[in-house]
Amino acid sequence: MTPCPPPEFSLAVQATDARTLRLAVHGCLDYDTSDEFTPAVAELLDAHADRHGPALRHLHLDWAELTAVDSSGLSALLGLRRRTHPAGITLHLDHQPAHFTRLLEVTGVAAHLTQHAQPPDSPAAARASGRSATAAPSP
Amino acid sequence: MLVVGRGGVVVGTNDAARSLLLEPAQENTAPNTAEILTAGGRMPRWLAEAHGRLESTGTPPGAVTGEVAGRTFQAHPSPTEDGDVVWWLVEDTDLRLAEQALHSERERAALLADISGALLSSLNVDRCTEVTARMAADHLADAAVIVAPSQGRRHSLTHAQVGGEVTQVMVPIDAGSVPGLAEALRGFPPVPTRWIDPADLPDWVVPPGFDRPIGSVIVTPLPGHGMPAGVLILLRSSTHRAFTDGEEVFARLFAARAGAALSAARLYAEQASITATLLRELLPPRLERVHGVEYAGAYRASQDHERVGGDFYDVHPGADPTEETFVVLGDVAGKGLEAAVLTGKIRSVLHALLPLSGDHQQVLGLLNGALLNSHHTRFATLVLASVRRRADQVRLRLTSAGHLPPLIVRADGRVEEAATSGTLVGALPDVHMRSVEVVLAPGETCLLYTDGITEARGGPLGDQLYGEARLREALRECARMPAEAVVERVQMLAAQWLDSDRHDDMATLAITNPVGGHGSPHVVVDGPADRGPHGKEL
Repeated sequence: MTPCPPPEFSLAVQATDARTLRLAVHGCLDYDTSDEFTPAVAELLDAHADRHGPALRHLHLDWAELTAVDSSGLSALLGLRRRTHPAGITLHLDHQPAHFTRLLEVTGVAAHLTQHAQPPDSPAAARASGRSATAAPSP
Repeated sequence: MLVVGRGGVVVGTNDAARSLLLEPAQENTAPNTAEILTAGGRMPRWLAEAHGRLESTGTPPGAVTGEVAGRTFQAHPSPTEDGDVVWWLVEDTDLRLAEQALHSERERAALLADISGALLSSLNVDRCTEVTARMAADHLADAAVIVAPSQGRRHSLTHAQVGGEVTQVMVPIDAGSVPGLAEALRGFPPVPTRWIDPADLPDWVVPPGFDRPIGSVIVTPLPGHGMPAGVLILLRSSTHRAFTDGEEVFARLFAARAGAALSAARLYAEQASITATLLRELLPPRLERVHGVEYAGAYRASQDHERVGGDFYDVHPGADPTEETFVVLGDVAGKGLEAAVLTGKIRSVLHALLPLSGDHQQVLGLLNGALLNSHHTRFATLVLASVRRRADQVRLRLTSAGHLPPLIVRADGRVEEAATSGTLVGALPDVHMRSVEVVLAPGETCLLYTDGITEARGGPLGDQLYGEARLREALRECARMPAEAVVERVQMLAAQWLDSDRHDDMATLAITNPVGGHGSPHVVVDGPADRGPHGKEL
């Protein structure tokens, strides 16, 4: 997307416990900042794992302070889902601004992103690993 | 110090002046042209003349300068009370030499600044080589040759001589035939000029038309980034004095500047050639009328100096009017060449899948499989359209794969969104789409566009998105327009809306059922739309 002043991007931890991590995304998640998104979230996930072990089941991303998002930002989010889903962490997208809702709707990936993840050691996860059959968006 | 009386007669001298001025005269009675004989002895002509001027005008002149026995002196006059003039001679030979050296250093510094200016203004290799040869011949030698790095077995030679043309030839040469050349071509330090015998030079070194005998030669590498940019050979004719050590050092300085510029130009040329090769494959195609349906596309890359980016479109005409024409417009995440390379892959895959274009779902499923990649989640969104004319109607099958749905501009100005949706391709294991059938009456247009249009940021407040609502409003005025006019209007409005130069790629593609029949030239008329409905093309 085109420039959104200020072109800054930051992540803040809103709340955390062993099973749930709530992060707030501030600013712009676009072509210029999306490269920072994945390592920034990964760092927080690693920190959580160091403290609580692999107990995390829910990652909430709060988008209330998001000023803009584009296809590169969405690509970064899909990259995050690739990491969290096999680890049994379900993504939750909270307080999306209208433009983000529209982007998710047009691209048809909302259901895929927030698909419920089975804990990696459960029998359901073993069956679901590989190709996901429930990624269909509701048109 | 010498005292000169009336009429230029030397009245008295001290020992220093006597040894300087008078003693040679005792060995040689005939005065040379630089001296005149006076009653009291010899004195330099320039001093005698200055004394004459002083006597005739009566006013004491300032100091005068002249040469005596290869040394330079300033002579300061001071009249005495009895009418004689005492000339105080002060030697300034060393000062003069220092001033001369300073002057030539200044000239050289100015020349180095000149060459940098002349060369850095161009990124054209031939032009840079020509300027280097020309400046070297004009300022450093009588003739100059630049030997470019080899291309296969041949080298490009650029010859220049003072007051002559600069010529370029491509010839096979033996680098071993000039002492130091083979080494210089590999970037080794230059061979001292006195080691090179001009008589051993092969004919190709001498510029065509340079007929004077060669007296001295300098061979110096043109240092480049990582590899030498070539070799500079300077030639002086035997009538001109040989190169001094200072000139040889200066030639190396000159070569360093020229080599840096040449090397930059060569690197740029290589990059430009790689980009041009890629661009040829990636540029959007020119669109035209196919089987009675108008197609028009417009594309503006995010960086205006780039001509490719993450948006793309293609129109694959049906083999005959009964076959569907297959249209695609899409957008990959990212910008610039990196994104353009992925668009190239998608366009190739879709081209290969043309025989299956009757089933959009299958085409997109196969494309998704081809793009899925474990390393990244770079995806594409696209719209497919299969277009066929039926009598005066144009029938479209539209499928969006995670892309903004096409907008339909009806002949009465209504704007509808095509009811198609689906998942983007290249990131998810499975994709699902819903296609829609749309019929265009004459004068109606289906517009495919990328989000660069709706996400153009600007407007009166500077930070608003152009948005889908404004685009629909603008399209209401595009009813019954030719396809070309619709895309131009949309691109123009989005460009006007933009507040800054920064924007995403913007692509638009219009599919129009022309007013006035599909067989005749498109003219916007308000007359009956059924004129020529059964044109010759069907």
